[in-house]
Amino acid sequence: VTNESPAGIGPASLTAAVSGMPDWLESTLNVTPGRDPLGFQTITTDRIIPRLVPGVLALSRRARYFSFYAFLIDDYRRRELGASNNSLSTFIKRHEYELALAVELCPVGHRNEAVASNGRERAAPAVSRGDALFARNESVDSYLGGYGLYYRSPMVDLGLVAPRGTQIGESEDVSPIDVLWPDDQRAATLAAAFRSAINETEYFRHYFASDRDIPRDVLRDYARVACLCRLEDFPHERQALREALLVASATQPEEDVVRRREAFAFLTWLAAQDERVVRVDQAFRDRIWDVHEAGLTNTSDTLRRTGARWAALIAKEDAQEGISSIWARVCATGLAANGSNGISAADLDAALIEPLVAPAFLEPFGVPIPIEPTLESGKLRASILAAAAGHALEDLREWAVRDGSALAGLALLLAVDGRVEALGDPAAGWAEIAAQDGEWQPGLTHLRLLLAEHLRTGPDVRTTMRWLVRSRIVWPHELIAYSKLPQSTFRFRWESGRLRFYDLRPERFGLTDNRRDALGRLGADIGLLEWTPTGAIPTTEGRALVTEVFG
Amino acid sequence: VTLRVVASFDRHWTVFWATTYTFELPFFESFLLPRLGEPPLNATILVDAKRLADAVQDLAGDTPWRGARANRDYLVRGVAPTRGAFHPKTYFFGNYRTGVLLVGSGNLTMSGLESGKEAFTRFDAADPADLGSIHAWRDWMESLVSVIADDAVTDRWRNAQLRAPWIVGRSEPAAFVDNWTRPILDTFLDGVEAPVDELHLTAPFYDEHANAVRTLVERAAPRRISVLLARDASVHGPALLDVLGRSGAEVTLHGLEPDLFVHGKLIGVVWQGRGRLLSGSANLSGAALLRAASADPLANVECGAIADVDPEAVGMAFLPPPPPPGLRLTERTLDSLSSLRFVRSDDAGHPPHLRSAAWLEDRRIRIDVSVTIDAGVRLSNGTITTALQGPVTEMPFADDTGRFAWLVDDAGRQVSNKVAIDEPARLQLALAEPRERSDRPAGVEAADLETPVGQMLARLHSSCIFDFDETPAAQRGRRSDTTESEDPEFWDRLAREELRRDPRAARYHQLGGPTPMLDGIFLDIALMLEMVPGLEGPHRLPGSHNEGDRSGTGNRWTPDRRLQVRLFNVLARWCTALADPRLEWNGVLTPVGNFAALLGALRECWIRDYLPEPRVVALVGVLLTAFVRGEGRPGFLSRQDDDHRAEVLATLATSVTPSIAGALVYAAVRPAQKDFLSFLFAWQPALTDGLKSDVLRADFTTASTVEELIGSPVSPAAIGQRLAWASTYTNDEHWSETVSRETRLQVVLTSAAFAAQFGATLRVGPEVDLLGDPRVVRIVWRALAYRRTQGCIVESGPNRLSVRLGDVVAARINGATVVSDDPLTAERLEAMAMAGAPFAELFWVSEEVAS
Repeated sequence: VTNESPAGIGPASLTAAVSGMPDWLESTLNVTPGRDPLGFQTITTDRIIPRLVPGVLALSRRARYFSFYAFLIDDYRRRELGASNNSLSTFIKRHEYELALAVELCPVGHRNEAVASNGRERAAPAVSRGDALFARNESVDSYLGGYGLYYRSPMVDLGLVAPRGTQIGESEDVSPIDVLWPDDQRAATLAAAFRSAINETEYFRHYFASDRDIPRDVLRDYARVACLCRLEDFPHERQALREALLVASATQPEEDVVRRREAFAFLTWLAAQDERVVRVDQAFRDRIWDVHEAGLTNTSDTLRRTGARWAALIAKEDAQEGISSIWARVCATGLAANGSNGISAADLDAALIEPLVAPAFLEPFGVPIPIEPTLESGKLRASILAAAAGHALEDLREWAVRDGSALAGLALLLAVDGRVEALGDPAAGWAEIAAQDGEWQPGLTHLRLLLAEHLRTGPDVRTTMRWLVRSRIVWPHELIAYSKLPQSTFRFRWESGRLRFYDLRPERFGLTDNRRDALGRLGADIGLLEWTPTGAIPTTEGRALVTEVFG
Repeated sequence: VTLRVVASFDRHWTVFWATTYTFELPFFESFLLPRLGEPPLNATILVDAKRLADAVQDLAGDTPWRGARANRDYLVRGVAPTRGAFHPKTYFFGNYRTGVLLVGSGNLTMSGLESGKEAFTRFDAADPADLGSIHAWRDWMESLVSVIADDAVTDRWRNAQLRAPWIVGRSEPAAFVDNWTRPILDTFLDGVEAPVDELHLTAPFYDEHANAVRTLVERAAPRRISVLLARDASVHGPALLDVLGRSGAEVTLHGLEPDLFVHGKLIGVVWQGRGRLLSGSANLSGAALLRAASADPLANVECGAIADVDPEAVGMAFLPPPPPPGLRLTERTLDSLSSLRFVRSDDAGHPPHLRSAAWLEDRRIRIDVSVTIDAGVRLSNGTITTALQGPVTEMPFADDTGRFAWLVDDAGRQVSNKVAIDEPARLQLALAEPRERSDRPAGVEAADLETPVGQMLARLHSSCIFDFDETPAAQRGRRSDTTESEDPEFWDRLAREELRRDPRAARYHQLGGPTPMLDGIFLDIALMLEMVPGLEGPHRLPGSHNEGDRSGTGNRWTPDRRLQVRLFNVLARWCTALADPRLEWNGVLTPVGNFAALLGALRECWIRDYLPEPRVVALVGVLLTAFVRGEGRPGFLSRQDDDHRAEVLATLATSVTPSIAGALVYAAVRPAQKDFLSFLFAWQPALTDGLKSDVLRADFTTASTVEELIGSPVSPAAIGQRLAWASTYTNDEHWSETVSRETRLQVVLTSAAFAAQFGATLRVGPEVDLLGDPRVVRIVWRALAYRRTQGCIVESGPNRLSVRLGDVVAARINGATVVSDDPLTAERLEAMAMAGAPFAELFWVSEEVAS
């Protein structure tokens, strides 16, 4: 028996080493629902919010972190530790972790609150174990920790931090490390205020710069002065934070400060009318739209302009909610219609569009609206506007989301278009926000123009639904999902001429963070608002800001 | 064992050559092509003509992004060498040095390369056992390209072989198998002696009458047959049942739980204690297994791999691994076969007669058709329809925005497939060497790029990743800071993925192989030679060129002050960033490449007077300490574990980089340089480690470079001596600072007037216990060594300690004088210093004195 095969490859004792041995394919895809499947939310997050609330991220929502990080950066420089952000990263992450431990141990008790301390995921279990001594750790693995993730960018925007690589002053050298702007007294004041608060603690005197395990009592004592909730005990620090957020400086664009002041003042102004706006998103959106639609902001140009900007955001988000409803039904309907095997292009209308426009009754606010696929879309628009007359736009949005049908989504979109049209000529400020387009989707103004162009031909509901599904849902989603690979976020995809659906939930995408929470928490932290059981009301300082900004 | 096929799509390669039955343009263009990186890239894809026609036809008009890069950045051709299916799935990735060939069942689609149950064989050119298969694939491709007879394909095939010249090699028996001249089944069964013990089968079949299985069973005469029948098999069930029933073999039928479609194709036999597996594109059909493509027009074009393996491995190969979790084999009854039906593949909606269309320079289009076309047939791109004059449109296309073209009849009805129109100039550009990147480094102004300095920086920036924070990866991460994240590590992971896609990243991956690559890729030797015409090579002896060469004639260009500032800032940032650990995400040799490139740049700045000498020297210090280590802070090298450190030093050892480094350091600390003490001590940790690890070298290349830098010859030996001196030199002030820092006592070497035998006189802080503090022993021991003396006086406030080797130690403490019982020898002093003992040990009365 010869040992030679005709291919010249002898049998091998180790299969893995055999040339020609096949392996089964392993996927590199990470199947995940992902975010923003149609590219609408990014318009709010990346284009609109930076214009409304520059320098405030969704998770940069505790004012004390601004003074804490200013202090850390200042202290790092004082100790003349390695002049690189890598070393600074380690320094920050260690002290972030210790502050997170302190927050967990705070005598006030925050265990059941969303206190948003950076490093809580690691600190909370350590505290819960009841350890008497805490070994050193870092808050998170990510570079520069929570500072890098949530506060660095705002602190740069606020002109407090000169990021690594900045040329500072007349020197020819660039900074190799993040530092506080030397010319900006606000940053130094923040750092000094936090230092002053903790200066006498056992933690700062004996543990801050050491490697020793930290006793529980020492951290509890540290929490007494350093916890995120303790600002009210340190009025100078609170004042410094207010100035950092609301006072112009040479190190930040003046327009940013103006917008930030308007945002805080607007929330405070709204809170004076309805304290729930600070805690409840629906109330926040409702009041923004209501005061604009009812002309309650006409008391000053600045207030009118600010209100118009925010109202444009609300309208954009509500229109997006309508499309989200249609999107969710497209996904569900496609899957139900043999979607995992795919729907051919020829069958798409029958399998996907027809179920979405099947005859149905909509009942917004108890008013029945019968809908046939052949109903003219313009008539649907008129009907929904009539049914919603006198009702808040937010209530209409809630109804459409609750109904969940594609027709309700279409009705909401048409109603938003009608309510915006009814406002008449856009108020100053409106156009700036409404004109913000995304990479894959139109903004509010552009979407309304497209809709108007489509409605001009007198289409029926079936035609409008087909137009929306094709132009705003099917191809944008596929394009966006391809751009996210190897994160596989496809809800559907054309494969060999068939639109194949994937079962990924959640189907619906929600409203985008509008910074209400961050503004509210920061506003309360810096003394503009005072929490109540159901919301927050303006403080004396808050009312003073409203007067300063809006007159 | 599983294989991540998509992992092979990366920036290593300059050639991607694929054959496939089906092709998803959006998947390739959105995901795979970007992973292959920037030009030069010869990406060529041969697809079954009918299936490509379907794929292009499906690209709806309202999705212009689909197929937007076809026949612009890569070439795709529908081919039909036979009337059967063009069915091979082969993916070749190559560059000048090496390559990988994947042969399997998966098409160039998302299902085929990512999510399907597919089987692939990987051939690696670095493995001698696999190289023959790649040569065999090349021979097969040569035949195919010849038959396809498409000029663009032929040109690119030639180009591919120039880019990966090693691919041409002697053909010898190999695991790769094709059906071009011989049916695959014949090759597979060569040497297999019937009756075999076991026959294992799985595939989606695509065999109307089970003829392939019938032939296989007849020729192998198996005693046992095991069939894995997954979902949606396409075969006439009764016919298959009949074949299996008549075989006389013990037949086992398996399915999968959960039931999945398995596209992988495997045939296995076990005979006489041996095993063999066939994998690849061939289904269990006659067109795939029983026909030779060059001789039989009904044959498919197929290829695969044959592996001779242990018998036990044959059966094991047939179980696809999860997902889904818990995937397992289940036994099925033979009755379940009877319900199977053969499903014929759809014909293309439009006959694929139009093989290609290409823009001509005058905006007319030349077409290539496989049939004679009727008079009156015209060419359309959707917006414009134009008559043809022979193979060329009569008129130029006024609208050249249409990406696809097809033939229409008199009535405007589509009568051919659609093709993506070739853009020859753009296709050619994709093959060209990379143009200089238009994006300039941060801190450099657009006008700077017109200057030699700007061009130098742009050249460096286009080829190296110096500052991670400047990369698109980091910038994208920063931009993303404005969105919410519930996953704090996400941005780092994203940045790593983005860094991997940075077109510059692949250059670093060429380091570390057996061939020295640092010089030429990162340290631009050619440019160095060009800069210094007299320098003929890195080993030229010093003093062998005319001093006048350096100055030349005419006015030397020098940057203005502001440009110098920008140049310095950019280089300082890049040198500092060398110690950034994130650069190592791209491999531990990335900072090594940067070190070499930056040394070359500093050398250029020095020689061409782009910066004043002190500024270049400052940058040398920044670079050196970032790479090796600085005073009290780690550098890139000092952070590495033993294995990585060895890898780094091995890479440097084959390069002239250490010689250039040695030359720059020498020039900075040369005797004529009066200011070197202002920075020398900060450099010393790097100098000490650098000399020890050969990061700094003093050889003839060093000497040549030194001569270019300072204009006068210095011997390698003199350079070496100076570097060694510089690494250890100290003075009183520095000695005092160092000892103070290390002992945490205020120590000052003084010049107090004591007897001549006390060559070292010291003052320490007023509160120091001269007899009780062990640090005083260490200070004395070091002072004697530093001053090379036998005697030392230490003063602390009014107290004084006198030490003279070979003599007793005397101390005046609080007005009382005490003397040690025994003389102090050098050995005893060293032992005490090592043990941490105080001088009090020498005195019986020490406790009284101390009190």
